[in-house]
Amino acid sequence: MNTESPSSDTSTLLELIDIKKNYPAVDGVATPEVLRGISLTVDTGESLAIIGPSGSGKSTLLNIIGALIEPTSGNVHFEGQDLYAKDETELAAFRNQCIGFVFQSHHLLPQCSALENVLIPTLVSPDAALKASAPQRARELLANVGLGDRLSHRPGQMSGGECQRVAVVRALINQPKVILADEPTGSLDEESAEQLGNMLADLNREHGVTLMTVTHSLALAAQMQRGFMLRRGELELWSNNE
Amino acid sequence: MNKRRLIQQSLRHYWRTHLGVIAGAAVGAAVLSGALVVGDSVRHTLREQALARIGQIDIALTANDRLFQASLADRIAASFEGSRITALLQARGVASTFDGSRLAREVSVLGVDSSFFDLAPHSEKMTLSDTNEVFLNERLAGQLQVAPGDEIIIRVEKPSALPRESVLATVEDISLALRVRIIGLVDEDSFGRFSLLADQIPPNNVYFSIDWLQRQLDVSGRANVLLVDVDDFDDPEAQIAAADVAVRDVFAYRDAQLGIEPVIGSDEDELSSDRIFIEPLVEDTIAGSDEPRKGFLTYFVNSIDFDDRSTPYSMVTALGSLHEDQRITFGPSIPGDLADDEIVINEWLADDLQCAPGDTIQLRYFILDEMDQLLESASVFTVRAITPIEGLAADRSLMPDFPGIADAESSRDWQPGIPIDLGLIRDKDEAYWDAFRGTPKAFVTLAAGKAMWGNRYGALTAIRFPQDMTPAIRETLQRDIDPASLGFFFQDVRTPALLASKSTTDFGGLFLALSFFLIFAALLLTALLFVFNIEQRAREIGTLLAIGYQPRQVSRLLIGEGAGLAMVGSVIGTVAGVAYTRAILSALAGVWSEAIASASIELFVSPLTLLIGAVASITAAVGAMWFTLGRIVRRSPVTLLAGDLTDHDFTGKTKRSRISTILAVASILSAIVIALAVDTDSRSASMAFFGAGSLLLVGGIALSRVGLLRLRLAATNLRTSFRSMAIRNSSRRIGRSLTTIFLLASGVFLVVAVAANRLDSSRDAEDRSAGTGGFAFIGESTIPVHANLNRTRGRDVFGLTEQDLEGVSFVSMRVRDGDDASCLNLNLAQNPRLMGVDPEALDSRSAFSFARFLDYLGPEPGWRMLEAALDDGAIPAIADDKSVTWAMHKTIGDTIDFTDEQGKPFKVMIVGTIANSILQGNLLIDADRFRNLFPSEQGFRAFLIDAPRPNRPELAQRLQRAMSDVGFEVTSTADRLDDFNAVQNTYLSIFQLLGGLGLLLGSIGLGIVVVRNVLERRTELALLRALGFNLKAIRRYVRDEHVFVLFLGLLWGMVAALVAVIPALRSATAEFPVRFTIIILGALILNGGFWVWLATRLAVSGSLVDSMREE
Repeated sequence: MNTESPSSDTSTLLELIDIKKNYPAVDGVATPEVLRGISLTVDTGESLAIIGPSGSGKSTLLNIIGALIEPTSGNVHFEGQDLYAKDETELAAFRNQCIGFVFQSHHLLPQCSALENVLIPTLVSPDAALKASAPQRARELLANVGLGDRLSHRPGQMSGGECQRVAVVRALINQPKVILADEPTGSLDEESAEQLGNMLADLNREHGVTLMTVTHSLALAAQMQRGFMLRRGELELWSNNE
Repeated sequence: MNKRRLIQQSLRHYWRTHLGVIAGAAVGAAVLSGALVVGDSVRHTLREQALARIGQIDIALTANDRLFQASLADRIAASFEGSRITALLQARGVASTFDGSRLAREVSVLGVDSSFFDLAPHSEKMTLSDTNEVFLNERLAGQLQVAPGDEIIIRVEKPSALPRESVLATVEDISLALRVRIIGLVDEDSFGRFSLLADQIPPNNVYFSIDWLQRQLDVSGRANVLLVDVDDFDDPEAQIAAADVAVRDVFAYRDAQLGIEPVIGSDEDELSSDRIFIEPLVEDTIAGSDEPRKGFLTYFVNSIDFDDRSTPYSMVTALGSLHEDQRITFGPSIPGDLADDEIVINEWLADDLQCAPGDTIQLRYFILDEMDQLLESASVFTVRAITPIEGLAADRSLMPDFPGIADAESSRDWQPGIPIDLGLIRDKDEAYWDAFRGTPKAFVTLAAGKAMWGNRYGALTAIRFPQDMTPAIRETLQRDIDPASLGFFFQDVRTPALLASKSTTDFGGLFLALSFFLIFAALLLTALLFVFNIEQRAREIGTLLAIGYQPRQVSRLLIGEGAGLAMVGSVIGTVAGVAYTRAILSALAGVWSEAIASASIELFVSPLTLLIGAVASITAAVGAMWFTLGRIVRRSPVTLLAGDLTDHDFTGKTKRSRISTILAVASILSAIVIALAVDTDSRSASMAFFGAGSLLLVGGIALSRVGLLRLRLAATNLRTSFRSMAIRNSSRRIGRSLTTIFLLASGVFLVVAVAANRLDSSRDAEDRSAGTGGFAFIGESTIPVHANLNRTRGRDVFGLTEQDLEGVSFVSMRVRDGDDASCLNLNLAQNPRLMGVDPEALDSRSAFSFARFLDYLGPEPGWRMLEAALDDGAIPAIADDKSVTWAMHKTIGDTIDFTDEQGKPFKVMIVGTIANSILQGNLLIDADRFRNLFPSEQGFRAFLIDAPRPNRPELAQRLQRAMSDVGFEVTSTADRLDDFNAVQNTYLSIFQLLGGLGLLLGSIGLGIVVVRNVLERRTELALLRALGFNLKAIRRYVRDEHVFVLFLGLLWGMVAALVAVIPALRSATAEFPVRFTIIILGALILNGGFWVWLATRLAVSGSLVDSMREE
């Protein structure tokens, strides 16, 4: 078991306590445990990377943090609240307001423009003020990531890197507490990947948003404040020097 | 950006892939709104027909067999303000071309003046000159194939003043042939459809000048129908009451065919009736006064006998005071104290018989027995006195105008309504007739006369009173006779006509039911295509869920899209629905015409109906999408983001499998229990077995689900062959496979099971228990037959010999015209046709099978139930089960309100129903009760005819030929039953066709599933090729999977259908459609084969490398 000492610091945003996950048995044969009691504390504004071999459970861990998959056991505390004590509706609201997701694929809606894609999370936000200011904010954010002239472009009219930048802006639009990025550069060429990495790091610094990224890219991981290696279901501290 | 915009963007972006969904929704909407428009069109057509039938008429008075003065119309109009009234002389008739080559029965002969046409839907100035020139309506002209300028023969029922069923009425001279010239045709706008009965089949009308017709029928100045257009007909009850008051105010005794004339040579006046017998009601009214009134009853006796001497055919008069305790003298001829067993004879008779006072003589005369059979009776009297032929004894006016006698020049020309032997008339009798005409030869007391000759039409032929009393008598008649009690009362025509047009059957609902499978298939296709489209966007859904959308919010967005598609599809479909309706209506006018008895239905499109159709279609389509969408959005966002919709959840399988197993076992066991418990011959068998079949279908599909779930689990073991792997593929998308199985199975089940309910009337038609009642023919005459066709004399009337009718017997029925309550009439039957039948005649034959009956009338049903005395005074009736249920919307024990001829309401209670019979459309009641309620409905107009098998066609022709004057039509009972069955059979054909279209549509869905399955697995199939599988093996791999699913669908459909049709297979009247079933199965197999073939072609098409790259 790999543990990080729980923090009682008021700046603690996220706390994973002894998270275990194994998938349902098939035909009576038990599946191996993917996560074997992960404990981790993440502070507000922190950036961290999780690396590891394929199938090590990195995305599973990220999905558990993002309230997309329920752990088999253990707790996830977000701002001191037990995440999985919430019902489905509360979890959806949590994802909408507190989390910003960036996936390996941009998953933009092909029928919507860049600006519209960014605004989609705001459509179900209960925060009226945020909704009202969202279009202006979306324009600014898109301009910030160099897409000010791409507002009305559809995903099919943009490059992969541009689409991924739109996806990052979409993740930011509801001013989440944390961005969870799952292989955000995985489908990009080297140059685009580097640009995106820099952008994420900048966002973390400039907006103070907590950033957790799962990646195979050591370069990207190196740009994060902390790094972890997930191996055999356990989390180990990792540094760029390793 | 908002959700609506997001939906619009999606619709715009994915429009190509959504085209199929729109098409599916359009088909559903077209069929759905088309069905509703068919309903509207039927309702509209019936309403238009009703309005064309009654024109501007609101209320009508039909005087049955009474002929009132036509001036009654003007008198009523003068006192009933704001009304337009016309008097009509209406009679039944038969029309034929001059050469007799074409004949039209059931002709309505209308004597009209121009005011009649003023009441037409679109009044037009039409006049007929006082000649033999007539108008024909278009239908009659069409039937006879005649045109203006042609001459035709109309045989008209001759009104008889003396009720035809009274003993002295003539039955031979009941119709009159009129040669007429057609001068014009009357279209519907000008009253070509005029009729007071609700039927979608137009009547055969011929329009005469009323004056000319009156003269031909010898009823000058008389009419029998009043038609009234009431100004602002907004309160029927009050306005009818006002009209009845107006009738009462202006009604004159002459309208009741009464007359007061001075008695020649006396200071008395005489009240007599054109109907010969003065009705008891009138007698009672006159007798109500204390003033002396003399009553006379003069009768025709067959013979007056003394010893061996006999005087044939004489008039005898009974006379006395109307007040029994009041003595009146009748002059010197008649002793004031004449006893009831005494007789006074005139000198001529005394001389002829050579008898003297104190001798006993016998009168022989005809009366009608209880069964209305002519019976010769005799009474014995003692001669009290012999009177010279003078004074009252010389009063030849005592003989009423007996038809066939009164106007005969010679006694040898007599043609009375009773059998007489003219050979018995001697020269001296002829000489008496020449000298004294009908002067009575003998006199008895009124009491004795009433006892002998009184009948239900009356017991007096004249009432005499001093002339100074005449004004008082007139006043009494005017004041005390209620015209309604003589049948003079108005009835609402408009309200029932408009109500009848509401139709017996809701055709909108009916066509919805008939199109059920087609609509279902269209919805399924819509949902299937929509879900396929949505499945392609699994990652999009996953994204939305991941960024915080709740599943229901995602559902709403997608349903918003679906609703948009459904809306577009429904708008297109609703417009197409009008074209679809047009196609249905032209089929109903053509190949399906038997479903609506050849009625012509006019397309009527109501915007509201289209809106309802569109909204219903959208709702149904959105509902179907919602139902299938839930499955997708409830998946894990992570899975969706991976674009993987394969069901990886093996944990719930056992539970799902258990539920399906329980459902399968319960359904199949229930089906077996029902199949074993229900008698296949019982009435409810077809419904029960259909239920058992349905359960088996559900069980079969549940079992298939269990099997597919097990197959999935089996995929994890090592006993794998290439074929078993192929079959196991059908469990990868269990939902899709089950949809295919369900669609095929339910399609086969419905189409085959329903087809087996076709009725075949020719089976066991000879059985008394069959729908034919075992009768060979049903006969109908336009003009009533008064003769007893089971007797030689009755047959003589039509020139039929015993040899002609050897072995033939008739069950004669009286008919009170009313609405045809059979499935051949689309109108709602409010006052069904009543028939009076002798219960014994049917009971002794055990004719027909009872379907239901009031069990408190006895343990077993039977025709004798018609004689039961019901507590509430209701008249028991028996009718065809289908007519009761579908046309009258009644059940056993229910009552229907009627009004008798005296305007008194009475109830008819349905005490029994008979199964699928030729008696559809009628309510049968006891003949005696019928006669009391409708005394004017004399004679028989419907006949059930038993005939030996050989030479039946010749017999039918012989009967029709011999009885052509009364418009006798003979129909084979099997043909009649076929006409009724044709309605049900045609509906089954419609269901089959629409069901077939549904199957076709379903098969397109099947094709899409198959092709989709293959396209989704192109990479997998390419991999197999890369692993070295040859093309043949891969084709087999794809084929085996889909053939397996097809097989399951056909198997369960057929098994369920076979169970459902067990009663039909064993039934005498139904036939299992082997050919049809083979065609349907063949078509399905071919269709399935085509899609599977296409799938296998697709499976191996394209580049292996490209397919692999798709990964």
